[in-house]
Amino acid sequence: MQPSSLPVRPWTGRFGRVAFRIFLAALIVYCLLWPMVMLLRGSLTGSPFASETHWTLSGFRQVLGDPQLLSNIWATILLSVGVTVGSLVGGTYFAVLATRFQTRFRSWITPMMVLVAATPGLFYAISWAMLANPSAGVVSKLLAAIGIGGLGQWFNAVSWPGMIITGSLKVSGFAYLFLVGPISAADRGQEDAAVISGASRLNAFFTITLPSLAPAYFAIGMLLIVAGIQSFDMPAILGLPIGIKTLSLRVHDYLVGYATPNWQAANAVAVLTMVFVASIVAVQIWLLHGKDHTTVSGKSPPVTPLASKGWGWLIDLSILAFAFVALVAPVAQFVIGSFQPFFGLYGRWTLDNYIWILNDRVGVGALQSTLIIAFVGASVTVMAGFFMAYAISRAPASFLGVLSRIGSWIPATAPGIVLSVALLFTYIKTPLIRDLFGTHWLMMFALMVGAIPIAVRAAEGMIAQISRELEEAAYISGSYPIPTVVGIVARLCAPSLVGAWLLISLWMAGTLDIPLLLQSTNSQTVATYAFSLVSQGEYSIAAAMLVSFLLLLAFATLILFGIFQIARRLFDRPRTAASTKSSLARENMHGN
Amino acid sequence: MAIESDGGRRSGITIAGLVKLYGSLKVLNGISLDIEPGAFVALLGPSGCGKTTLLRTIAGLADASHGTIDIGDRRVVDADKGVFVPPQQRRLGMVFQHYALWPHMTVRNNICFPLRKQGFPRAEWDARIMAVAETVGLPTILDRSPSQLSGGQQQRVALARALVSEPKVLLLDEPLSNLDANLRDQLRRELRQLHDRQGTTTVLVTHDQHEAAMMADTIVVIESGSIVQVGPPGDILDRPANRFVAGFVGYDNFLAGVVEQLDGSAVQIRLSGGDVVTLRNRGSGLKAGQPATIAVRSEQLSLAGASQAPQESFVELPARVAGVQGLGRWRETYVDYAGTKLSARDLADAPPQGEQGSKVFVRIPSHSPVFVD
Repeated sequence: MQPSSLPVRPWTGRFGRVAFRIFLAALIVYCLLWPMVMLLRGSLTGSPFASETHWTLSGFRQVLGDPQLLSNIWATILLSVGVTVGSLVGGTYFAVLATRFQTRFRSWITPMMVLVAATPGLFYAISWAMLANPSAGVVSKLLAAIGIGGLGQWFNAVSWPGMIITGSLKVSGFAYLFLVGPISAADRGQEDAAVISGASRLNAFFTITLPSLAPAYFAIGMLLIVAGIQSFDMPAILGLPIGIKTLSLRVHDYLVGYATPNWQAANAVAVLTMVFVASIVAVQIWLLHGKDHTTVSGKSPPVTPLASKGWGWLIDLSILAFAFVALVAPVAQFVIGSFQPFFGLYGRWTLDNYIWILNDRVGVGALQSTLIIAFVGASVTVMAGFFMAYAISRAPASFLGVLSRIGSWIPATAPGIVLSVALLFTYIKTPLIRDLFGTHWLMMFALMVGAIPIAVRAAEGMIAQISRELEEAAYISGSYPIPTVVGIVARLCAPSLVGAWLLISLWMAGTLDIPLLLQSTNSQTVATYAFSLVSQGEYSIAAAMLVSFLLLLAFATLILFGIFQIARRLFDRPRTAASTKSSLARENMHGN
Repeated sequence: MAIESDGGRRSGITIAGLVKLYGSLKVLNGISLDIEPGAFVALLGPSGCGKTTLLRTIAGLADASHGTIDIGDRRVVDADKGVFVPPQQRRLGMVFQHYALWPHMTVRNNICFPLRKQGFPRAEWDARIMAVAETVGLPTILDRSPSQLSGGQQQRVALARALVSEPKVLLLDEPLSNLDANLRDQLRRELRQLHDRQGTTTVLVTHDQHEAAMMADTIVVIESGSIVQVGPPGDILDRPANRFVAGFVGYDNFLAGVVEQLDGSAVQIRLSGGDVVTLRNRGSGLKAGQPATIAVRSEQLSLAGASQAPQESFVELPARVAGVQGLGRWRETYVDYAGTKLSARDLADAPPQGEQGSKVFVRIPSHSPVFVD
């Protein structure tokens, strides 16, 4: 009856466990920590391709003596602060509407903001460069059609205001998603107390609730500023043509803007940018350290939305206007633009751009590579991120837990182009990996490193909500650690892991800076290829390229989802159909 | 070493010198305990006393810093020799405080999980699941998901899952603390009946003295990581070994004195007010001339306006009423005896036992426990 002994698992022995942990630790160090060491080394030695190593500080001397450095720093600060302020205002406005007002289109806000946030910045920037172009953009054409073409010159995305407004529209999506939680969960009791004391509900919100959210705003603001400093695609498309160079663009400039790449200077700017970002993060940690940021008491009654009386239509109009400006117009421009023979020539519909891509070896290769990266790379990243998040959540003080935590933050603090340089140095110095140069696999590795923070953060929140008792119950029942983590914890996290996968595959496809230095003429991603097309003025082909990719991704995801559903029906059926029926019948008989 | 009985189906547990350190904090302080095969033992103590840590160490969910644990004839922990049998190899059943049912599995799959993981033949699964479901009283809900069940049903599923693989030891970690009072009472009875039918060695962790007394054959009282008293429920409730145990099991009046004389089970004590009383329920370790404490529950303490002739069943002390407080259905009268505050509880609608400042006589049952202070 009872089995005589449990199956023997030699690999779960002490030696096996230690060896497995050392392997994981080495993997984390190599993938996530070592590149930063190589970056620093590169700033003191120069080209990664040089056969001999000469230690020198000339890179730092060049950069610090460069009269442009200060303007690069100012451009970076202006862009990131401008976009942060703009997006916090937009995010707050819509978060307040979504949580406090009863209007017709209220339920549209969250899906709309998710879409805005999930659209890769590169697509957004290209679309707006087309939409608000003073001579060929739709906006100026429409103004010309109604006889006020002179105003068209004011609608130029390729400008300082254009860059900040476009950036703010895009980042509003993130700001909203970060803010809606704290705003909806803010202790309603404090606001109620102000209303009882005689304040109006709106006044109480602005004088009591919003100030109580200051720590949340501060943390989110810092996060957005850091993201702004790191941004590459927006300034590359909307700023570079008029000579605006942020620190990220400066790194790129040193490598591709001259006859020979200036590795020392590029690495020195990269290191200085890292130090800049790290100091902001340190200030944030120092300011927030030891303070109580509890804005959620857990005791507040659910918020009853305010009915907006006579002016509800104005709120609805603002929601529709934002949806049009931030979502419908860029997407429509993109799709319409991809069917036009040349950017700016409207009226004739053609499939030429799509035919051109299908006949272009590099274009087809970019679509294939990006699909592989989106499926394989994103899947592996989500899995790796899950296991790192598991170590962080379940064994925070262990060696692997600490290493995972540090490792999961480093790529998030490094701007994409800096990460690109760091990974280039690391891979070129690693035997075997070095041989992958010029293939999409290396770009995939780099994008996986860049996406680890997203994957870890997504899984971390979910794992924290899964009671440890669920795993312990499995251990007591005879289950071993890895099957338990996969079968119980990962299975329960599955919905958010699928969400993270979708976000990461879109991010990988749309990220320009990380694969930029690892691409080759034959091996590109959709993002790098679209960027090179835009640089040559081929906006319509770039648009067709990105539309094709999104269609392919959607198609492939649907097929995978279908296969998954069929598999689930086949393998996840109730254990015995007969007993199911009989027990259900009994249940009905008992009227239970 | 703990012995096995009933063909290995029931195992005893022997714990020797168990120490658990979290950094410099000693959570378990040299615990030694023998649990007979088939016994029902309750680990009783306040929050943070180490009772759950002790249970988790038996389960293998926490490791020990020193000491040994034997389950049946198998040594599962020998901290000093680095022996640690992981939980999945210990053959235990456990019911967790929050049930820990897997929400993505049906009730049937939850119960089946131990059978699958412990390599039971697939052909037996259905019969075993049905049998255990009948035992715990939930055969009709096997294809529901845990989220569709009430708290009581979830508790039964957790119990079925713990029992389905016929474990050698059943561990219960405050399994009833999340249920309402009526259901808790009902499930206490059912759990005890189940134990009487199946005879699985059971260890229950609880902070509720009534629960421990109602369910267990033996209660182990733990304080600050050490065992302070082991015994049948009657012993623990009527003869607490010290002030901590007495306080924990509901004694709320304490009178200090010095032992005058010992005679069989009787002990004569001179109280701080100079009165000498004779009580008949002395604890161990009392010696003439040593300080001792008498413990009385407030509901067992009564007040009288006039003194009576000496009686077998109680002793009398003169006191003064210090205050009266209504507590819903109850009333507490506070009296002062030679500087010691005592409280007597009776029904609020009974005639008052005395007004503030009036002289009264406090009657203490002569079987009240006495222990070394």
